[in-house]
Formats: sequence, C-alpha cells, structure tokens
Amino acid sequence: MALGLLTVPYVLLLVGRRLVLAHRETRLEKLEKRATPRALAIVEGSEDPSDLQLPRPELEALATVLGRYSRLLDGDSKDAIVSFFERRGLVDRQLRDLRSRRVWRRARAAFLLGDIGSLAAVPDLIAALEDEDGEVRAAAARSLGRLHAQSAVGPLVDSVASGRLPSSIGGAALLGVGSRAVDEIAAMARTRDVAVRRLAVELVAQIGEPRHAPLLLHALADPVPDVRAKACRAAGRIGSSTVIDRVVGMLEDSSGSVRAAAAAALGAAGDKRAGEPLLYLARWDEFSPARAAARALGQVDPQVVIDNATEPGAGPHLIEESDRIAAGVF
Amino acid sequence: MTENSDGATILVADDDADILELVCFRLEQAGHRTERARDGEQAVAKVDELDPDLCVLDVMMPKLSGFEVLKAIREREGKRIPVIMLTASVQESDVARGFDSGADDYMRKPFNPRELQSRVDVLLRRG
Repeated sequence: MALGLLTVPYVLLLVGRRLVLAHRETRLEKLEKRATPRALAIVEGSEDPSDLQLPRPELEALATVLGRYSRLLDGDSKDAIVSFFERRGLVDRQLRDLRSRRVWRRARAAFLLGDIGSLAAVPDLIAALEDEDGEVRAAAARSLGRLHAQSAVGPLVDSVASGRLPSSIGGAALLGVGSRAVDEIAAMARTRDVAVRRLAVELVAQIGEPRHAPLLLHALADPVPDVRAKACRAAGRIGSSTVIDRVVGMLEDSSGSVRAAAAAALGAAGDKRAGEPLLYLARWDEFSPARAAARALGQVDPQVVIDNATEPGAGPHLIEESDRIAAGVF
Repeated sequence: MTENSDGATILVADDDADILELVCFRLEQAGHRTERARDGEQAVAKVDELDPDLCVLDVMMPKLSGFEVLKAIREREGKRIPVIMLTASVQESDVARGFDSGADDYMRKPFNPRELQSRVDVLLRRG
C-alpha cells in the first residue's frame, strides 16, 4: 500500500515530463516548418539575412534548419549559409562555447561548427583535438572532416597515433578532407608508427588515386601483416598493374590473412595470371586463404573451378565454389 | 506538385525531406514542375502515373533502392526518361554501377543545387 502511494507521484512526474517534451517537440516542428521558406530563400541568395529581426525561438529554428541544409550542400549555397551564421555572430558564440568549462557545451559546439561550415573555426577545432574529453575530441575531428580542413591532417594523424582518437573516427575525418589528405599522410607513412601506416593504406583504399601506388608498394612490404593485408585490399581499387603484379607475389606471404586478402584482390581485379597460384591455395592452404582463393578463382576463371572441383583432392572450397557457380551465386 | 505552364515535369525521389525541399525548390525556381517520392516504390508508381520528363533518384531509399527504381524505369516501354542519381557514397564502384545500370548522370552529396539544375537542363535539352 505504502509502495503504491510512493509510485503515484513518480508516475505522474514521468507522464507530466513526457507531455511537456511532446509539446516542446511539436512547437519546435512548427517553428522549423515556418522557417523553411526563409531558409530556402537564404540558400538561394534571394534573401539577405543580415537585417533579419526575428524573435529568438524563430531565429534558433531558422539556424537549426540551415544547419541541416549545410550538411547537404556545397558551393555558393553553402557559402550563403556560412555567411548567415558568421554575420549573426553564431560562429563566435560556438567558438566561445568551445572554451566552456562544461563538457557538453564544448562537445555540442565542436559538433555544430562542422555543420555551420565556417573555416574560421578550423584553428579552434584543431586545438580541441587536445581536449581532455573524448567526446569533444571526436566531435572536433568530425567537424574538421566536414570542413575539408587540410591543415588538420597532421593533428588528426597525431591524435590517432597517440590513441586520443579512435582510428575509425580519425579515418572518417581524413576521408572528409579528401584525397589531399592521402598526399600528406603518404609523406608521413614511411617514418611513423603502425597506426599511421594502417590509416594511410585505409585512406588509399577509399579515395586513393593511381599516383598513390608507391605508398601501396611500400605497404605491401610492411613488417605488420595487417598493413600488408589492407594494402592488398586497396590494390584492386588503384588499378596499377605494378601493384597487382606484387599482389600476385603476396599469395606466398607468411601470413594467412595476407594471402586471403591478396586472393580477394586478385579476384576483384579479374587477373588470369593468378590462376595457377590461386588453384594451389584453394586446394592446399588453411581455411581462410583457401576459401578466398576458391572464390577469387570463381571470379577470374569459373571454368577452371568447375573442371578441377571433380578431380581427386580438389578440397571442399573448390567444390563449394563450383556449386555456387552452378547455382548462379556471385 | 507545383504547377507551372512552362518547363519539364521532374520526379525527385529521396527519403530525406530536406533533400526533397532543396532540390524541388531549385528546380521550381528554374521553371520546372516537380513531383516528390519518399521511397522507391512510390517513385516507380509515380513514374507510371506521370511519365515525367526526368528523374532525380537517391541511391539509398527504403523499399526499393535507387538502382532498382532505375532498372524499373529502363524496363518500361515508351520514351526514355533521363535519370540523375544522387548519392552520399564516396565509392567509385557505386558511380560505376550507376552508369552501368543506365543512369545518365551522377552527383554526390553534399551537392550544389545550381550545378544539379545545370545538369538537369543539359539532359532535357539533349532529350
């Protein structure tokens, strides 16, 4: 009975809170819907936002809508949004929040500055990569990627190498900077630690160009198997015949994961020169590289798989791949 | 649909409401009529209903992807509808897949609405 009496006010509090939040959400939706035509006009450049006199809730709704649009746009449309935020002092406000004693304010400011898109924020965001809080550092990295800040490449790489940033977050930020990040990181890759070398190869795999082939060639000889395996996977994308030639040689690597990655890359490249070594791996190697080799052979020369699957000692992987080819599974 | 006596009828398909607003607003400012679809199935239904002059398709959509909608458009009889794909992907394999599937042009997000409009105008003039 007593317990029942105690829970009643608690439930009422929860329900009341839910109602208040729902009302606030509805109000915000209405404000944002009203702000949309003005936001579109600003994006188009047909409205000058400098002299806009709006009540604070409407100005905040407009800023929210423009912040969302900023994530989707490029070119003069994005410039118009950046100009809005700069002229209304909203960039300065976020830069002040980036120095707040409260972690949540710093993290929110770091995040929003990426959406706002003002390059004036880059130096402060680079400094925020040294913040004591991981959420702030991650938000700063994400925003530097969104701002395509080439000057942030070195600090981002340092942050990943030192463990201040997870490599997935640092890598995503560097992807945002673009292929110029690969040029810069390529210069560091030969002298820095394994986290940097790994990051360099991952970037090449995503956005590298044929001129980054030397980085891959170097990575194929890396003492760390994971880096060699990533370099094999990146090789197919770059389309350099010199690199592919080296990947054929990686089928004899001492590490099974590297042999598997090399097999997968050769399958994707469709290089028939690798037929014989792939067949050997598919028959005799450990599970993972043997299976990868059988799959690759199925891409390179399906008939070889079908012919050899019926031979004595074919092994389970060639038989499985032959069944997949017959079933039309690719 | 926004009515305009001049200009082409363009179907814009994307599950992101903001993209729909931005793209449709720009195209309407350029004098075209636009129709919106929020998923792949709706896009296919509207193509059959409206026979638009051009389609702008997002790649990642619920129910049917942009590639599947493109395939359905290419399998239709009647006039060949120019298609521009919009994607957030950085993968060149997606671009290649788009062109192999019969897309006429491909734009990555973030995008410039005026550039999109220019590409629409080029395809409409060509058609």
